Amino acid sequence: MAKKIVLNAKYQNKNQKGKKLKKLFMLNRKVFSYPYIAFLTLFVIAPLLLILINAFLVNGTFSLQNFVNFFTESTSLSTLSDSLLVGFVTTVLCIVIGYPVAYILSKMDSGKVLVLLFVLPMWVNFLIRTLATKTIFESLGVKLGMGTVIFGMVYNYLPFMILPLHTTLSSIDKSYSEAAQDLGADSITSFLNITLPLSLPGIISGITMVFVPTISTFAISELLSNNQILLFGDSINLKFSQDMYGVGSVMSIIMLLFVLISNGLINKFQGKTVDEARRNLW
Amino acid sequence: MKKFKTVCLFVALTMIFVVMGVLFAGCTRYDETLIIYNWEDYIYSKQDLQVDFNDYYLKKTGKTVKVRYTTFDTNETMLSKLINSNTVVDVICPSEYAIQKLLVNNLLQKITLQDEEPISTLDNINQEIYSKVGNLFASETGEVANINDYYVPYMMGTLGILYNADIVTEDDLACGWGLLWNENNNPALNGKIYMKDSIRDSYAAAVLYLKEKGNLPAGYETKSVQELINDTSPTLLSAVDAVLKQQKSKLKGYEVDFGKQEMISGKVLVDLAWSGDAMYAIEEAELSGVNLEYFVPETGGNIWFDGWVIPTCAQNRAAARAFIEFLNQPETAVKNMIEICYTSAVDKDVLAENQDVVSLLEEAEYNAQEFFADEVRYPNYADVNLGVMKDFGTNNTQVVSMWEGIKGSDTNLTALWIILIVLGAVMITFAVIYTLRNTKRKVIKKK
Repeated sequence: MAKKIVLNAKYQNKNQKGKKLKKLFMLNRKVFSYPYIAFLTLFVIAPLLLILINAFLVNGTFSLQNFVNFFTESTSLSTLSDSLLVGFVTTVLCIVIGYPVAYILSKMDSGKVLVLLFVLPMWVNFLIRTLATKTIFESLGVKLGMGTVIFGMVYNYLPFMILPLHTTLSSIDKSYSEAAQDLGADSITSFLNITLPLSLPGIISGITMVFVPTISTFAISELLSNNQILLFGDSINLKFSQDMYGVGSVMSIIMLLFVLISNGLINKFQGKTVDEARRNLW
Repeated sequence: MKKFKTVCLFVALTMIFVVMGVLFAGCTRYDETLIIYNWEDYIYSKQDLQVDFNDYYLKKTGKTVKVRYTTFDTNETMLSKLINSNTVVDVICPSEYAIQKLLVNNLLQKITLQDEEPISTLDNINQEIYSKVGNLFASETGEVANINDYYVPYMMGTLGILYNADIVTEDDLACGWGLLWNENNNPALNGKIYMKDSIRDSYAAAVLYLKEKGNLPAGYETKSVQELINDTSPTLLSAVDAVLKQQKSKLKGYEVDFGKQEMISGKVLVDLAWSGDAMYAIEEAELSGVNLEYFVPETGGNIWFDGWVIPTCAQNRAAARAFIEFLNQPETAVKNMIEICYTSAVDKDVLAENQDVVSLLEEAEYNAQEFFADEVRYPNYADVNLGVMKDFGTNNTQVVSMWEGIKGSDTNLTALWIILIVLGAVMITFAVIYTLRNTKRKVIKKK
């Protein structure tokens, strides 16, 4: 195969344009990547460019006014801090609930099947799940507000925390903690010194998979609070629907910054062991 | 290998031909196309519309026409699409302030040009609407009744309060707009009130509430309803901000779509509503034994008109004009009214005299006399206390910011901060224990 490619290359160099063109339309392996490239350009790169351009446009001319507007507006900033807070609380709750679950499941032989049970609700569309949650709260007479929003967030994003944790925890070689216990460590010490540090990549990827989506959610906060709570995602949505594309784009860029930062964090923590990085996500 | 490629090519080509064949088969049946750009659910059944309008057009011109129906959900979506992109549509149905904005941007054609015959059914329209909207926007542009040459009224409605008459008492109702603030402190209503998740409508309700209570800032008392609901000066804005924040504790929330349903099922008792939605909810609720009613408080309210316009990008002007003519026939108007519950701009006397209209109404189980006498459906257009809202213009940014402040208000934040601090404390304790254990181990190692 390799020889053939080399030959092809030589052949191509010698020949004229017509043949190159012919080559372009031949069915080779590259052809199968074109749909994906087209998709990527149309739905990922083009929108990002549009956001970037819109952020610097005010009435058709280049300006930094949108940034000034956003950073001097106390309501937008407090919305951002609210969202960060909700994101933080959700993430912490997800770890607190998710880690023990993942730990216990990784110890059990039937763990894989039980994990499936946690993933099962994810096969139902999240809007339907959220609407169902809302109905349950209303029939129980719970007042919709911040509490219910956080419940909804945790409920929706918990699987994203459990899955990476479970993968990492169950791939830790048992002999490490066995060795620690042989050497006289009690189970708490062996957990804190062996299992917890080794499961750090799982924790980090779990955090990013929960935190970033949480601060940009808008449907959950709208539905589970009857529109009484406005998070960053809602605010961006409102800006675009009110034809304030400039400020909306600035806010989207800030969102993207959070994504980039958390990606950077993942890479930093997982760069250490390539082996670990491979199995971190799921 | 080569054979395989040939087969692939052949299969691909066949598929393309089949798809194209299917597509073209759909297109060739009609001589012309009319592209309509309208609100969602704002006309009677689309299938019937295609058949009815095609028949009408065939009789008028001898040509068949395909109706392509596209929709928008807010005036703002429609405006930005028309102003910022090269959309091609033949006829649009915006609200009055959006028509004005399109007109200012030079995006509209006159409904009737000099060498054209006037649209025959235009006389059916209630002339009071023309004079109200015409006068309003004339004072702004300086040209009298300018806007009236560019649109034909379609539907109208008011903003008011939909309430559950089984539970809301006479005393509550006496509060007028105060009902939305539960001014009478009826314990049954707390947490059972919905506001609209729409800036313009909630703003208008708050301003009218201020006027009703006599709490308007100094200098605003003498202004008319019309001027007040369009005023977004900082003084009034902060007064509105205060009352809307104060209202929040009484509310169940803000809605735009699910309020009707919850009113019908009795989960919510008071809702800020548009008249058409209210009429629909009242009829539906009757079937399930819930008694709903709708009123516009005496202080005043908001009245709005939607009308058909022909944009400069229109490619089939003749069909667009024929469509407007078709819509203003009494039978079409009443079909639309039965379907969408808003009030047609066609004059009620013209409708009431038409025998087809009466039989259509009876078919839909309405009493024609009651139908036309209903004050919710036919308010007094000339009433000065019914104001028309205009575009907020350059102040829009401030209004949006105020609205965000209201919806994102910080009532629950203190509780969250406490949780955060507790969690922080727990984490620090864990960290301390962890480090202590580590140092212990190090000590053991050294031995």
